[in-house]
Amino acid sequence: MSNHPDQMADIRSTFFVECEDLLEALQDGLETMADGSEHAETINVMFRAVHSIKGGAGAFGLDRLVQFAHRFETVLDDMRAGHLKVGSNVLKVLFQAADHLSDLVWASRSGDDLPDRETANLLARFDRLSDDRRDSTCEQPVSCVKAPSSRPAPEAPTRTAADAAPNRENLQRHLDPDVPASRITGTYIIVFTPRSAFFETGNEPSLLLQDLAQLGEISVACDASRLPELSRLSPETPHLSWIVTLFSDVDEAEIKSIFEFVEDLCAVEVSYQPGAAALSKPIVEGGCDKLASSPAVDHPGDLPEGITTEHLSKDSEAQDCKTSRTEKCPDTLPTAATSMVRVDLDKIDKLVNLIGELVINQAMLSQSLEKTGLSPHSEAMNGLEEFQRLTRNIQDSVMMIRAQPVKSLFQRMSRIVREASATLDKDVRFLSIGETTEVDKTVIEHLVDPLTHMIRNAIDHGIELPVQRRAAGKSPQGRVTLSAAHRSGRVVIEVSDDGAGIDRKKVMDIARSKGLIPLDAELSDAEIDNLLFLPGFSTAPSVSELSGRGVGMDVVRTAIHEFGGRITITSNPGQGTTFSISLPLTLAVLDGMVIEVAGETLVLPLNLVVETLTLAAKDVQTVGPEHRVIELRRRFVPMIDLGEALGYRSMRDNSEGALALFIAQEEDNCCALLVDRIIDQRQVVIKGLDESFHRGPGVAAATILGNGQIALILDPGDLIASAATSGTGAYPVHGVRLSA
Amino acid sequence: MTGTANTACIELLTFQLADQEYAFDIMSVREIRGWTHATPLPHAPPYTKGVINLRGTVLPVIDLCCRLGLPARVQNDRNVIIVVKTKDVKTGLLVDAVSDIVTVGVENLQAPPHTGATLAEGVISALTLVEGRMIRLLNLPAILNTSGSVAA
Repeated sequence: MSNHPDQMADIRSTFFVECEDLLEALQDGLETMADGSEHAETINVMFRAVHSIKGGAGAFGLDRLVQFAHRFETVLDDMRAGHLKVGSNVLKVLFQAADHLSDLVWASRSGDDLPDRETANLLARFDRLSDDRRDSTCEQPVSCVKAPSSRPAPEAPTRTAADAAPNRENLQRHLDPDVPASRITGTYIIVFTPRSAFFETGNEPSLLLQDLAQLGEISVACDASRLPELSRLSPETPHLSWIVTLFSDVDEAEIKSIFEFVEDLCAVEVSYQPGAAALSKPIVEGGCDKLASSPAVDHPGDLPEGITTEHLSKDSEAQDCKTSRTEKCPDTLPTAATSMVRVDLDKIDKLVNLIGELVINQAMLSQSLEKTGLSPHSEAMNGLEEFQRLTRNIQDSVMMIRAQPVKSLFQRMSRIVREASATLDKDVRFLSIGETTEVDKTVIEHLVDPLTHMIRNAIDHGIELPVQRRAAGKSPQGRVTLSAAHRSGRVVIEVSDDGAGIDRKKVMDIARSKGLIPLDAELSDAEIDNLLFLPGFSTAPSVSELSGRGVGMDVVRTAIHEFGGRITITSNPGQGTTFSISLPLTLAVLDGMVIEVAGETLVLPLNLVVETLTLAAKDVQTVGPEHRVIELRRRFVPMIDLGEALGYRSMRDNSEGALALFIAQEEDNCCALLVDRIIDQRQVVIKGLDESFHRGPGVAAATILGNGQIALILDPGDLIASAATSGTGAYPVHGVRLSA
Repeated sequence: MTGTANTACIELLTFQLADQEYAFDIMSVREIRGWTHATPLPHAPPYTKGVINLRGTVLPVIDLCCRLGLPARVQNDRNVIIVVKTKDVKTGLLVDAVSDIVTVGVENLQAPPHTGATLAEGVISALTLVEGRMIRLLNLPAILNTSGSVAA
């Protein structure tokens, strides 16, 4: 067609975006069924989702996706019609099919190889499901590959049955061209009238008519009676309808299936006469005969189906022809307007950036106004205050646009659970809590890999085999819970299992044997649990397929730290393990503590600063040539002079009057950073430093301050780690515990 | 910038660095800004002056004198930052003062003579004479690339 390739690519990508939503709806439906809380609409929603994917895929020629979706749809249709009972067996297949459908969609999107073997496997399982139901209804089993030749001819009664499950037979014959024409041929008269929205969705009548032509002998007449004056003609509105006479052996459902994708967009009336009819003369009532020889057909012009610019006189008989048509679907065409808008993420990012500018600008403005010495009660200052409030509101609202519910993430995880439990022969139930919790989109993207790893770990190492569970007096079915909740300005995501808990003795043994801890080390339970996060630690005695490739929880922890998150672990022997991840709500703004070191202004993430202390000379003690520690409530905390660590100055000789900021990366580890002054606490907009910059250790990003100057945002964890490895500053990587 | 086939010309932005006259192809220059305080980057190479705020984006600034190994300048208010763009990356280059925009025929550009180590890096792509003054045309990607690889 006249579609530009770029346009097609656009539409195609829109289709795949829609697929995401549709797959989600499908998954939702399946989960509702698994809960046993489904109602009549559930299956319809699922059916529509699969159907829409099939429809879209068909438009882009993704044949194998269409085929699979079609079979899937057929199974759902059987369920809808009540032929197939919902059971755990069926649900299992459906879940797998949904997963596979999603695989096919992604493979089609990226152009990867399609997993054919898996497709065949699932199709076979579909067949078995169908066989079951066929057996139960005493029908002949139908195999997908080869159709039995002696099938009852689809006479009128069959046609109604075919309406309930229309597609099985169709596909049957598409797949098997050898079906003998033992059917009774007849003549169909199809009156096809596009509705006003028909062209808006990019449909083309000629293609539908071509499809019809493939079913048998065909003759087409065009009804141009509704065509308005040329001056009033709107090219986007369909004005024509077509009367098609088809001589064929197909059944009515097959004809209707051609109009399947446009059924809401047009009126189609099919009538049937057994036996052959004279094709030379279209068999239509009344004036449509005349229309067949009207100029619209005789001079088709360059547009297909004889769209003519000539105005036809209104033929009263043609009017009859039109009014005699039964309206198949009521005019509820524009489906209820959804309250959602699909927006390109780039546009939102641009908005976020602009708001960032606005915040900076507003800060600059208030600084310069303060300098002029205006009274705080002056109009200008009051206006400025209002301006600040508005800026803050706008910023919050924009951040909310970027926020997404974690539902899609959780659904991906439910699949991980299904696959992992199947691989490991463990019976695991997946519970998700707080799916509607909204988190910044980038945070969600960052969470996929860590969560996948943690859930696999929970199933592989946490949940015991059914036998062991029974022996321990637990239900043989294990449980993995994934929950999300907002807690004091952060998002807390927890992965918990009801498995055996951490085998602390084993963990200690492994840590000792791998040289991760000294042989005589005595560790508390929490310290032992935290050993899991050490690089190179893996509790699996053998490397299993799922987890334990040596990249263990340390990778998870690093990934989570990288975007400002924290991870903690709690475990109760025999009752299970919980990993808790605490994350910032957004990665675009940061609550920062603005500090000054050696004349430079820097920003520290506020959430990491647990305590500040103005130092007296006696507070700082030196250990060895350069290590220094601060005594805080009878504990010694390693100290790093920020000015020295960043290379702004040499080590401060006298700590008198300086400030120590106690930084807690993990709950138990603490380090002190020596700074000159705390300037402010404020929200700052994070500006990334891209690869072309020289980014020294400890520098995470930058921000722009109210005076227009750039301040660097520090990553204390990185700073502490690099200070420890370079041999200056603090000695241990993992500080000391602050709280007793 | 081609008049006829024989007289292809390029426009150069010339500037002062330690009493020598250098130039960039003007097509790579985006803007010229007055000197503002740059926020230093910890542990960066010495020629990296730091980062400045360019209308809300973070712009790294390179001290061109230091980058070319020329004697350090005395700071004055004629110091400017030339913002250049190569491959979608913007960089600021600190120079002593901007002089002029001149148009030079490409046939008047001479390859720099092999004089030894100072030019070995290939940061000077050509020499030309304008009204009796020698102008050194700088190879921008070479200047930025090296800084990039040092940083990486």
